[in-house]
Amino acid sequence: MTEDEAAQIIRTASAATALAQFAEIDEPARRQLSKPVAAVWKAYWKSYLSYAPGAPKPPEMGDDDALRIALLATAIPSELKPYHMHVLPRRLDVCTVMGALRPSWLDRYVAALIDDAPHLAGLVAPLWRQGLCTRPEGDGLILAYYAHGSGTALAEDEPGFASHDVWRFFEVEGGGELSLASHDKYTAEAGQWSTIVLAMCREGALDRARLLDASLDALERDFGQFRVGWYARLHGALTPTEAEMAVRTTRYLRLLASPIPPTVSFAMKALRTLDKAGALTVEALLAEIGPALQARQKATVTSALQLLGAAAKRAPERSAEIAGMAATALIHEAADVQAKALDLVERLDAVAEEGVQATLAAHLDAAAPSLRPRLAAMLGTKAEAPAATVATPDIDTATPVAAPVAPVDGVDAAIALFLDVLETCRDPIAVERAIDGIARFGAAARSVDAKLSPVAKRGRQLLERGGTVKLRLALAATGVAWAEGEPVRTVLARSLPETRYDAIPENSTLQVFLRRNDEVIAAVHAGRSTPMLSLPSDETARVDPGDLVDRLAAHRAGGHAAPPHDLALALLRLGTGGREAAVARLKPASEAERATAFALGADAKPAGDPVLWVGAWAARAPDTVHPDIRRMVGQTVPDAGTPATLTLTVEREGRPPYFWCRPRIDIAPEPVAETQRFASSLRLTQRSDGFLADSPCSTTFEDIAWSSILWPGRAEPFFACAIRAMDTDQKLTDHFCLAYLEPLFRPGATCGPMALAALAYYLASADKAVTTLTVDAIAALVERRRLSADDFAAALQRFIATATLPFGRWVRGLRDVSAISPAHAAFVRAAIAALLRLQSEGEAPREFGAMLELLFELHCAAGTVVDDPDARERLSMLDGGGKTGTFARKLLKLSAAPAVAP
Amino acid sequence: MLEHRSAYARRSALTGEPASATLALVRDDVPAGDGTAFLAARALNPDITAKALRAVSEIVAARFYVPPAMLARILREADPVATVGPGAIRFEGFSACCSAYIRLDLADEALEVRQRRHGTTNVDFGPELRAALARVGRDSGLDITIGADGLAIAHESAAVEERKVPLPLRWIRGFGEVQVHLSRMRRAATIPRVAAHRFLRAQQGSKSDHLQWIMATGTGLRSTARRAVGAVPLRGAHRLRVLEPLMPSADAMEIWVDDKAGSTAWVLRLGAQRVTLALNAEPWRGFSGDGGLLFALATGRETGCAALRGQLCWQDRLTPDDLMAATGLSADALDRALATIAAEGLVGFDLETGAYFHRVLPFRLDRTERLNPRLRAARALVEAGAVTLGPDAASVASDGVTHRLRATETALTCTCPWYAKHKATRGPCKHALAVEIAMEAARDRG
Repeated sequence: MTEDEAAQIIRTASAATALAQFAEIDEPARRQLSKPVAAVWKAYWKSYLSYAPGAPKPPEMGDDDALRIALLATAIPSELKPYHMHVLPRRLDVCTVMGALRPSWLDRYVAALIDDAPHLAGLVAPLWRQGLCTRPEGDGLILAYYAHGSGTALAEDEPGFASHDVWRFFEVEGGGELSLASHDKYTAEAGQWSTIVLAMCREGALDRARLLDASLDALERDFGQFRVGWYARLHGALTPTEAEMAVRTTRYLRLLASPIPPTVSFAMKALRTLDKAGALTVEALLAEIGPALQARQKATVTSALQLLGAAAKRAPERSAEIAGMAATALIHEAADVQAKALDLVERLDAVAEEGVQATLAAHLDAAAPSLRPRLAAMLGTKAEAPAATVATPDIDTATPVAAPVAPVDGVDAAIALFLDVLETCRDPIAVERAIDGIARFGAAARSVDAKLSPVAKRGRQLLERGGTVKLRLALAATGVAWAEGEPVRTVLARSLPETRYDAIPENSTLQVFLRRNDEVIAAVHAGRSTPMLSLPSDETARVDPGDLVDRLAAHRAGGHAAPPHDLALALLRLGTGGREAAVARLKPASEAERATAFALGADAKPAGDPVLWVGAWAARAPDTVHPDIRRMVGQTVPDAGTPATLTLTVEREGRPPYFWCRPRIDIAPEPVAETQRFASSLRLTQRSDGFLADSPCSTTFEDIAWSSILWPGRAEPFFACAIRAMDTDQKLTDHFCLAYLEPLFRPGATCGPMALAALAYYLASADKAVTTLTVDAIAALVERRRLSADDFAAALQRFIATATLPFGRWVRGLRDVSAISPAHAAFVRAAIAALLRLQSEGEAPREFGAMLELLFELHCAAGTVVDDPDARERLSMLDGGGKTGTFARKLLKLSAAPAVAP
Repeated sequence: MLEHRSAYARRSALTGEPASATLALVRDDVPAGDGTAFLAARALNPDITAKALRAVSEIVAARFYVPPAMLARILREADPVATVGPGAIRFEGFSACCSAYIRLDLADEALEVRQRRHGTTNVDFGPELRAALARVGRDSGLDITIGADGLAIAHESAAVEERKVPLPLRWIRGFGEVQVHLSRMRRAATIPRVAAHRFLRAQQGSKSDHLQWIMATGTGLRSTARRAVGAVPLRGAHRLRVLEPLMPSADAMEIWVDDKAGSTAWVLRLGAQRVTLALNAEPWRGFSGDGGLLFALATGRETGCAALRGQLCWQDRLTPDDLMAATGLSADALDRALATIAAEGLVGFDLETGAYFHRVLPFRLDRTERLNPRLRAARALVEAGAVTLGPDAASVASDGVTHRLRATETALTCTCPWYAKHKATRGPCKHALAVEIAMEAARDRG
């Protein structure tokens, strides 16, 4: 057959004819035809995959199965691999085709196909059943049984299933969608593998004893938690008798060392049954119980202690050994588990044993504060006296000391810093230093050949690549504009047209960044070297009034006007200290200087560019209405001559059993479309009804971090965005909401209602990074005396009252805060006491007991008592059962311990 | 991908009754019937040794990061490397992603050694053996042999068991690079057992890639989300989970940190045994790519290497002072020679002694180093004449851009994205390497 003849067959022949003709020639001869056949197939495949209008048309042919047969006849497995099942004929039986072609590589092809796509095993299984190839024995075939839909059907037709394959279920774990656990989770009960295996067992097709052993074998393997559950459930569903369990006692004991908690619970349940039946020897138990005593699950440790207690009754001569083992359970964090361990040690009368003493002593510092006196008594020592009580300090309102921000000092440093922030722009102050570096040395850098070539190249690369970090794209556009002598807006419009998904939206705070950068680049292109007006003077992100006056003087000395957007941003960042001295040095001659003088407290009549004057108003008196500014703006716009009021409402939404919490923030006066036209500050005070895409701060750490230094003097609108952005169920590798907490770590950070609500809300996040950073933020604010316990408790209560968020997260967060220092513990005690006062009579949340337990332990540690009469009254009302009632009573009974100086 | 084929005469196994179990570890590339065992010893604390070996095996079988386009099955389980030295037996290996390195050091006090022959080999260590090791208890007896044949191993097939282990280059290169990290580390804290155990229990079992900072407090360890004075960075804390089962037997836990690279080492002292788990700064960052040896390899000459190699004789403790005295090399020359032989996998670093130890890895590292992409690119730049050396700066023309490099006190700065992103934490960029090579050539020319 020639290549032309092969092409002719593909174009005109039916599949049956093609098969007959290719089968007539031997494999090496067929292989000679592979190139033209593969070319036709690739063209066919390209058109097959493309749905786009104008896509290439498929090659002309009468029957596409003829092409598939030609491909199977001429290709080798590595060439067929990318197309999976698509190379197999659709209307001809696969056995007929392969039986006629008899390719030498069929074994390899079938094995590779099943390894790559186990769910396709059913398509090729007839091949080995008819003896055309060898049955593959790899894990792929077993995974094929785990496939939804096709797996059980494959088993029905597979002769070796009951004798061989089913037993490999206990060796092959699978993963992703291909596992027994996954199959059964998404399959009706009748079609589940567990149902089928149990039925086969009942019918005698599978040996029951072997099934029991095999399921335990699987539990001993290092399978993942989700997947290993299937084997435990199967073992349970077999309902082994006591006799059957007794012969497997050692197996259950070994499972106590499993790293999978549900497997340990499973084993513990079996061991309790065996213990009741008297089939558990003390010797065996003591040899294997150790890991269960170290488990994280309370129930597992408690059960282990119960088994030890029962063992001690049967073998009193081993009491000392048992007590030593029980003492190791003190590693558990829960006070009640520790108490149970101590109960057993005392009951066994083995406290004085050397080994027991050593274990108890090692755990003394780690024991719950309420148990330390008891533990110390067991050790024959006195518990360490609590440190002198630390009172909750008053709020500090003093001006903080902040590290200054140093501008870059040369051309090379400016280029290096800009290249740095192009790669990593998480630090907004560094970003501002980089733009200031362009303002100061950008013109000089342009005068040296090729100096900016790395900036231009990297900028272009980043713009081409796009991405979600819009600050990086804005920086890249700035870099390209710097190097190529164009306005930033032009570069951006060319590289990121508005229709692109990653274009910077009109309502974004980064529009402020771009407008300011455009001014900086225009000055550089005009050959000017002047400092950027809005460069923060220190790490608070504020611009020192004296610095601003000096920078304005530099512009005046250069004979050019101050850029308005840069100045508006500088005014938003204007610091509060040193305004009088600064205004005394300023001799206003231009509108920019008049606006600056107005911002610094001088008398001036606002007139001219509203962007500048709204900025000046924001710096001077953002809490009062200014009629002139309002008139300039032309209408009532929040935070533009009219202070915005933000009101938070936390609502419970949903229907049983699913409820969630929805914080809503109302802005008064209501924002209007014109809001975005005015000063940069207004970008944070915008309506956003909860869609993340609407957030002016965007949804990446970098963008949000830069937004945080937009208006450092009024952070409430920023924290309102923080509340809107949080989804407490979301867990991310690098949660963008972490950036919302950054301002709280800056010197002088204050907490308004929105900041407090954000702290309370973020503490309930499922993302560990968010809760850890929130704990750090609370700790830093407490340390700097910037957080009131009462205010924080009030913010917390708004979310607690909705009963929609996991209460335990707040308890864990507050416990972490309290562990930092005695002062932090005092803050947490005060906050919980305040929270207690806010609980309606008899309506404390069900989980409130955990909070009271924390309060109890903290008072035990400090040697203090709840002394607030209102809080005591609330405690006395919590007289029900459960943890809440128990710890309310314990707190009321607590007596103060004598304290010693730290 | 470099295919390293391990040929085992048998599969390793744990056999015998619990009271006298034998752990027969089968070594690589020795035919069945070769009776010469590397090691025959009895573990004096069998349960601890078994748990520690299990930890080594768990790390080697683990993959903490799968690159997006990579099928998980491409990286199959590798085998630990065992070294029998005069004073210690070491088992070491990397996770498949190469971001975690683990080593178990068994001092002589942990074993009753009957037979010993110095050497390094792969040992077969599969999941079945790992499961079997979990059954070794306090009262078990545990004999360990490392040899071609398992002792009394019941194996279902009499045929030679060959396992093809396609090892990625980075897995092998990691052996050269990890000792650079270890040798730069300082001890950040020593934490008592209970406090350390509590810390490990507080870590999430599931994948956790966020960055935390660990700091020692009066009562234990505390993690924060922000850098604090004296705090140690930790990202991918789930990698520490392997240590938790060992904690009840530990005396204390030491934390070591390499301030330059942000990598950490977590050392558990278990009597006469020690487990060192070194974690690179990020779970998606393999030790192999850190380029700590690149400067030395780029400019390295054989000068001194022969003298240094001549001193290697399976020592457990090789200090720079001793080596300088023995070889007559200067400190600088010794550093370069050490880097060269480290890249060949001939030395590892022991935090406890602050010294190197000798081993001969069963891989051809010399070839893999020549394949280093950064080094290859740097040599290409030099050959293309892209480097221009100036009095206070150098420039490298690359891909239509001229990068400028300046020497600071600690490194060569560059205007390329690699340097902007990583600075000196992951070794030099290709431009800095090219400049180093060009400077070396210029020096040679006089």
